[in-house]
Amino acid sequence: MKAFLDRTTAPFLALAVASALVFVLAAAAPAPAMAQDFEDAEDDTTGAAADSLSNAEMLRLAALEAEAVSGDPLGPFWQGMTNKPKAGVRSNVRQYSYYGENVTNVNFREGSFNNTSSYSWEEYRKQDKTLEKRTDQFSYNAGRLFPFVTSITGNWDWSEDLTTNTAGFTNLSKRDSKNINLSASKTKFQTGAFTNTLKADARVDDQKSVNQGQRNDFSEGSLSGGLQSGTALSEGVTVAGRYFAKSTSGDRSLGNSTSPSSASADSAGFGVYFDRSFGTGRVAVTRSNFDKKYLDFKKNSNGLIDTVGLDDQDKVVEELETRDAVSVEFEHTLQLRRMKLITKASRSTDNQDYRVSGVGLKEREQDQFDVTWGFGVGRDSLALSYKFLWKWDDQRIKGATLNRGRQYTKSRNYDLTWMRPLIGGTRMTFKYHEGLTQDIAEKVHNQNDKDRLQTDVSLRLDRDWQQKFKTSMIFSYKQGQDLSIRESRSSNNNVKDSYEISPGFLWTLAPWLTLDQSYQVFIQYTDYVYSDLESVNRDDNYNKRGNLTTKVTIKPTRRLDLVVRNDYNRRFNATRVVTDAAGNSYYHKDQIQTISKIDFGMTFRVAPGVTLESATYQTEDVKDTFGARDRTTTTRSGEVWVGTKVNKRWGKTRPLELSATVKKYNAYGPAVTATSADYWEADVWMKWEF
Amino acid sequence: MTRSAPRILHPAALLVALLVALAALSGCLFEPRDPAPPSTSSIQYLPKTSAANVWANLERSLVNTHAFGWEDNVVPEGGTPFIYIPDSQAADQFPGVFDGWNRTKEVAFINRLYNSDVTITAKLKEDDFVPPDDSGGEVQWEGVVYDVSVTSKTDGSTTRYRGRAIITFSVEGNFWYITRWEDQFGEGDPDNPDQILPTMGVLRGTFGSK
Repeated sequence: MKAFLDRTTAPFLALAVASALVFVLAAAAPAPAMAQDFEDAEDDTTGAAADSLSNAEMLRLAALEAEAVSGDPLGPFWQGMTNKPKAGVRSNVRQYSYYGENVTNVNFREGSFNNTSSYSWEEYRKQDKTLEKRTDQFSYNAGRLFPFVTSITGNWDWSEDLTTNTAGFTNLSKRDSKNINLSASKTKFQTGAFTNTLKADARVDDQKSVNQGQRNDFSEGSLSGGLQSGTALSEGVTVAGRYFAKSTSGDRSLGNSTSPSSASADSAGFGVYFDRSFGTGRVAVTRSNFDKKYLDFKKNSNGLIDTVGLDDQDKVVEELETRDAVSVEFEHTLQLRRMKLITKASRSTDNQDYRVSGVGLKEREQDQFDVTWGFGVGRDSLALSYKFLWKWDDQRIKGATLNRGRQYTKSRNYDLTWMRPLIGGTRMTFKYHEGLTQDIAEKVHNQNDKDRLQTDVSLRLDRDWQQKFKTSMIFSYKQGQDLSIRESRSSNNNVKDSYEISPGFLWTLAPWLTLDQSYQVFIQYTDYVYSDLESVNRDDNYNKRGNLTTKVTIKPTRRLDLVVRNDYNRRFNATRVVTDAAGNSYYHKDQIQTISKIDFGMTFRVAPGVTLESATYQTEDVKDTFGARDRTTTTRSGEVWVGTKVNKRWGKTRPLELSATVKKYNAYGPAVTATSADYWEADVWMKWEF
Repeated sequence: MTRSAPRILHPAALLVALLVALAALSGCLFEPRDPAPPSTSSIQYLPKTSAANVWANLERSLVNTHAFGWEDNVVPEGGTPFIYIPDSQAADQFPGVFDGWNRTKEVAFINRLYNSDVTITAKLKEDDFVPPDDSGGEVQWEGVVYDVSVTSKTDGSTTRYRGRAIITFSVEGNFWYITRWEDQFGEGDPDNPDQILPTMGVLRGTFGSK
């Protein structure tokens, strides 16, 4: 333990001294108003600064502070305790579960204690598997006992998963994990002109687990702390900086090997935040890095475990992983009456290196630029956006003298949305999208260079006809070009053109009766770019699908709802056989498929809190296949379920609550297996509060 | 008395914006590169008119390390969302990686795998597996045992993945797609039955967490 403390605390000495100094200053300083716009500094989080004080973390700290000062400062020391035991059972097509939990809350004059204990046992229906879980989570906050928010949280997770495969081999996956965390923080306190947030944590983790006979245990302690400070340079301009560090030390066991483990990480960030006449925005820079020493299985150049043929002592290695990341972000929003222009730009880079793994060194870089322009003129409103993403990763495989070559991904997207009210109650929405994504392998280290160009155009018209009748019409066109660039991959290059027309209406015939009907036609042409070459055995094709959906909703009484729905769809697949001199294409019918499905649903409110529900469907699927021998196949499937929902609550001071949903399913059809042909779906629980 | 807000943009600005939009409509904004004509025979994908064809296409995509074949058979955005559920071993090994695993993550995984200089042998179902007939708009295959071996061209090492899964296929628009892949557990190595092989969840976790 002494060795652990020596290793862990050394890098934190300076931080601890700085923290103590800040606490002293915080206690001594009065509490003037916060520097304006400091909240914006909280957004200064990037992927590179994942360990730093994130926005969510800051909000959590602020919530803890609010919770800490919410008690009654003049009341008795003991302010009450509540318990909420709950027990239930669940069942569905996949598994049965039995569960129970108890939530305890204890409130003191200063602070509170919460504890949640739970237990569950699951048995799977479609495989030989059981899963048992036990958990306990507690938290204590010290209220205003200290000048900063102090809390202790603890978790215990225990699970045992027994799975038997088809060969009869049973695997035990067992985990027993415990951790306790002491946290102290103070948000938005003033020291002179600076507004600060300070946080420090001490944590101990202990895990024992086994899977496929291999143990994976660790016992580690960690210390972490961070400080964020900001000040207003002038009206509407704030600068903020932050620093966060974490050190971990302990022991790890993997397989038959045991070794000390350690990790250290830190991140630093700086940002300028503005809210002036030229708009609002920020510029932020963050740098973060870590190094971790741990036991790992031997891995190949792709990061896959590669222990085949190795002796046990060679399967596990002492790994050292290091990572350095930098990110720069710019964001600006300009609002002028009905015009808004948002610009975002960022660059992030990171290097990740392994001492032993065959992966070696990985380098990554990503540039992103987004601009969105929205404005209104008269009754029209328009939004235009352009998004650009360029990223690459490179690798120097362990032992290699040269890099593999960069793998680029380049993506550009343009979007336009135009909305305009037309005559009467008619509204028009027009959308256009064009996007190009390219994969490029520098030095042709693979053959997978490809481009995908996607174009989407849609026009939607909606109209309300005096409340009782609503209509809609959608016209849509999509084109997708899938193009492999290298000759070894380009034989399947194709262009797909898709058309969709979807008229529909909703007619409220009476307050208790509505009719909803829509019709959709999808047509897709697929043209293979090189289908005329003899070496390319691909035929262009044509596919069409019509779908008519009719839904009738009836509410004959206030307690009864009925829904009848029919989906009728017909699909047609054909292959192009010849194109004449005039360019007309002729297709051969391959298959016609007709699917008709009818659903009926009913809900009846028997009494307050008690509902009877039922539904059924029947499907008929007729498939005609044309070829050397024409063939017709007909399949039928269906399902019926009947169920009840009950929600009851008794008592006011010590309420007892019952919730029960029970449904019985029966199904038939070619894809229905023994486990899904006849089963119960249920969720029944009872909760008491005292 | 009310006063209408002064116009800050002349209708001409709207006209300009519409012209920009029309320029885009002509499809001239972005231009893909010119591909090289194919030198080899084509990878023969099957029409996605049945669940069995979709599953066969995924196998051909793996064997040819051809990403389009995988992307084209995973349900596109806008329809039933694609879901991957790992087995316990993969979930334990890669905590958090599979949360919200959707089409975007699946496509990123397959591209990273194929771009990592590997050769793959794959058999996505056993010879005696009889899939149920497609009926209606969705079909579920239970007890699919797949066998995939990934060999690194760089160091020659081979890793084998063999698992049992529940696969769901759905009709979207005109075609069938895979919409759900649920790994149940790793199966034994046929060459060494005492050795339990990992599922493709471990493969997804390795490339999905990069």
